[in-house]
Amino acid sequence: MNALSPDGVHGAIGKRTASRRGGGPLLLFDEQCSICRRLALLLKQRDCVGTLRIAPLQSVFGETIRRSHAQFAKRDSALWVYPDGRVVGFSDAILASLEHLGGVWRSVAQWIRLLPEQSRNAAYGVFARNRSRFRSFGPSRVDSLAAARQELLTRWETMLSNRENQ
Amino acid sequence: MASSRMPDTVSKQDRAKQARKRSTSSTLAVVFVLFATLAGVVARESQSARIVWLAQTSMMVLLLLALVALTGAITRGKNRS
Repeated sequence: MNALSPDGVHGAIGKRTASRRGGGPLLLFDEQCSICRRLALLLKQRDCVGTLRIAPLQSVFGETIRRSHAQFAKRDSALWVYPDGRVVGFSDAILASLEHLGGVWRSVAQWIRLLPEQSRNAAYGVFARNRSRFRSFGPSRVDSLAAARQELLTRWETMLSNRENQ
Repeated sequence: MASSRMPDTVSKQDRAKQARKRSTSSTLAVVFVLFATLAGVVARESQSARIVWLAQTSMMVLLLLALVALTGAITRGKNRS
């Protein structure tokens, strides 16, 4: 059962059952950020358990969760909702998502958890504020598609205007 | 003949010295990271607030030192290439 789908929550892909889908964790990410989209894509691809659900923060459900938690409403952050309803944000959300992947990712996340929370969140804040500057991540596939569509539209409009002028 | 071989010998010695330094820096970085991990585990397991603070501070300092050592190793590597 996926009751959240009308609000924009995508079910996990891969091996899954209907009963599993309802009780999985949920990642809320910034849809407009290419790094966040890449992370979401990575999580989708590597989620071998098949219980993870992903939704944009800009969806109705995302807005509701943000509004109901004052600490996340003010600052920009990805959110991780545990199956028991607990919501974590900032670096904890990223680490929880890495732990969900298991394997090496879990070990890496557990190591990073040893760092003081304030330092982790400060680093997350610095990265989140300057994420548009990190060009090395490049545009995501969605960006490329949007750019290609925009280019086609521009071409089409130019062609139409040229015809009208002739 | 001997004089023409001289720069080659010096260069080889220099290269070996740089490689040793690079290796030492990398080893030092790994040791710092291991000690930082140990400090982190102590901070997580400890109940006393003072010990937690001390362990966390030590961890951050050790990680900083590891970063410096790693930067040193990388810089030396770049100089030689």
